Amino acid sequence: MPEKSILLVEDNPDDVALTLRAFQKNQIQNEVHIASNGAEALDFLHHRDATTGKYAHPLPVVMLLDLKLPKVDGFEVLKRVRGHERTCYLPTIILTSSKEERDLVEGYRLGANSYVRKPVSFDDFMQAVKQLGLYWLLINETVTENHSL
Amino acid sequence: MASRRGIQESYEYLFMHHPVPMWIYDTGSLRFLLVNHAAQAKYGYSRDEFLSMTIQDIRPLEERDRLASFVRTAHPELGSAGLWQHRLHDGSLITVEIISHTLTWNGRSARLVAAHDVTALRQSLRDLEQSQLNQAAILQHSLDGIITMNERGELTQANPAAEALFGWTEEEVRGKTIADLLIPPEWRESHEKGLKRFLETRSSQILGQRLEMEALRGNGERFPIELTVVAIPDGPTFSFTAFLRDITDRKKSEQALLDLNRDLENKVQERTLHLEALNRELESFSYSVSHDLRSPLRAIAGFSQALEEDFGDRLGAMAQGYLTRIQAAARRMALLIDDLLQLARVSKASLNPESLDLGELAQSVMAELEEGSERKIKLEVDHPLPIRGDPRLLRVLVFNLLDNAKKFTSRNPEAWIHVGQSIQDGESAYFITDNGVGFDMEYVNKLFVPFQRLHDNRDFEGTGVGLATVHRIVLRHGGRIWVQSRPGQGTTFYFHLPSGEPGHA
Repeated sequence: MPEKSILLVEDNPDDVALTLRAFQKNQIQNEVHIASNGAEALDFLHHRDATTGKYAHPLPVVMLLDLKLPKVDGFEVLKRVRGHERTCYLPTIILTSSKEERDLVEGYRLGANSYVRKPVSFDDFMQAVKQLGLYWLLINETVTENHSL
Repeated sequence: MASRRGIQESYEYLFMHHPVPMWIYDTGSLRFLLVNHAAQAKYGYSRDEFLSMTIQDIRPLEERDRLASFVRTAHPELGSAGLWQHRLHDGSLITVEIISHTLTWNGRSARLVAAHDVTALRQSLRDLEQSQLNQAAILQHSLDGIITMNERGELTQANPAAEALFGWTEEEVRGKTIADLLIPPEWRESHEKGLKRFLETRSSQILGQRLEMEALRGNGERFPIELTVVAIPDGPTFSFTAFLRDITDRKKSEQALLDLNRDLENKVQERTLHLEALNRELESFSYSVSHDLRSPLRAIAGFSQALEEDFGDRLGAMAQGYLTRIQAAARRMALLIDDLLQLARVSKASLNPESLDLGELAQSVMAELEEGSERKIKLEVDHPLPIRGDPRLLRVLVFNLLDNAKKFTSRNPEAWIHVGQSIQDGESAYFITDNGVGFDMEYVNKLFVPFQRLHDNRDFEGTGVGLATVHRIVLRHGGRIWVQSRPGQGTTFYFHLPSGEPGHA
């Protein structure tokens, strides 16, 4: 069984550090790949080796996606992820600062599985990450890569 | 002899039965000598009555002298004796045209008279004269120009107002065609066609209508006129009269009004564009605030907590206290940002009014407020409390007011909140009242201003934005909000929403 890795798409190093700290505090040991902008995230998910034709990276079990990103923003990432055969079922959680209604609506419209607002208080953030880890890493069953192909 | 007598009898018979009233009188005594049946019937006297009278007796007094002098002067054998007033037996006067003939009757100098009653004809003539006088007065003094043309389109008459309007005199232009005289060249053909069509078919699309067109003055100047044309039967054909009015001034006013409206519209559009741009700016501002302002706070709160957790044993109590303060400040600022964003949202949200019950709304909001809270407050709600407004904004309004009431009753172990409706100054108002700490009404004007607080943050936490948001929501519905409070006596917020369509504030 391949390792259940997490893809964290986040441009703010502070938020990356806090998220990793929250994982660690919650005993979430899964490997975390970090993409600091949308282009990197899409490259990680969709890049194939030129000689073998195989995907360069294993498919993560869940993607945590910030919305405000340099180059390719979160909505664009989500749109392309959903439009790609490998990632069309990839559980994607929007994890962002805003709770602007238009962000919520657009996020769900483009096929996000969940929308979580990052709380300012670290205790609350810890709590949120704990719930996410419990649900998406342990409880939820996902379509495996073989089936999606 | 016998035959002569027979002829005389025949003539007398004809005289007596002639349909025109006739008589013979003695030019000396002026007595009636013979009167025919028609005269007897017309004048209402019998034969014997006539024969006992003179011709003066059927005259009104004022005609008698004229008659006397007329009789004295010599007259041709047969001829018109002019018009006379006669009095009938019933006293009424008639006008007669007299034709008379001098003759000898039974050896006397006499005169044969035939009297034609022309009373009705005279009246008609007088009426006609009056009508002509009226018409002349109207033509002379009308403020509108009045011109008449014949069926060939030639001007036959123009009144002084028309002369003033066009700058020529009737004499100068009489007989010229209207087309050449005052119709702009591009309209001449349709004018002539229209005239021809009317004369052939008796139908017209312009007759009797109020029309606006351009006309030419004598000096060639074009100007706008308003006119009505009527066709007047004239023997076998028609004449046409037009009533014309110079509307240059009116057109100028209309144009000025149009220009003004257009300018106004342009200005409104300009302002609207400006406002829309501002709105977009505000929107992108709040969007950016929503995303970007919170993440440094998260870092401040998160890392100070990490510091406390990982290195707390190496920090003194004071340093730990500072870290706690940093985290509290970051949380407070996050709250402030959220409240500000809500205030901005309330200002720009579109209103979709619905009818709902304020009491049910208050109970649902209270349940949300009490979630995870130990303290329970007695909430009393009148029933029913129908209200009309935007459901989302009303929820924000009730949330803030109840949150407020809950906060300021927190030191009262017997806290209660009452939501209801009452008449205030003749106006129906909803109220939310509590038995909390209250405040001094001296500071009431600060209550609805953002960031203005009546209580120390040490006593009651808050951002000072909640009531400003409430105020904004009431204004957006075109309503009013006011408050009654005394320190230690609790607070009552009243608000009134108009029942009709809400306006924009």
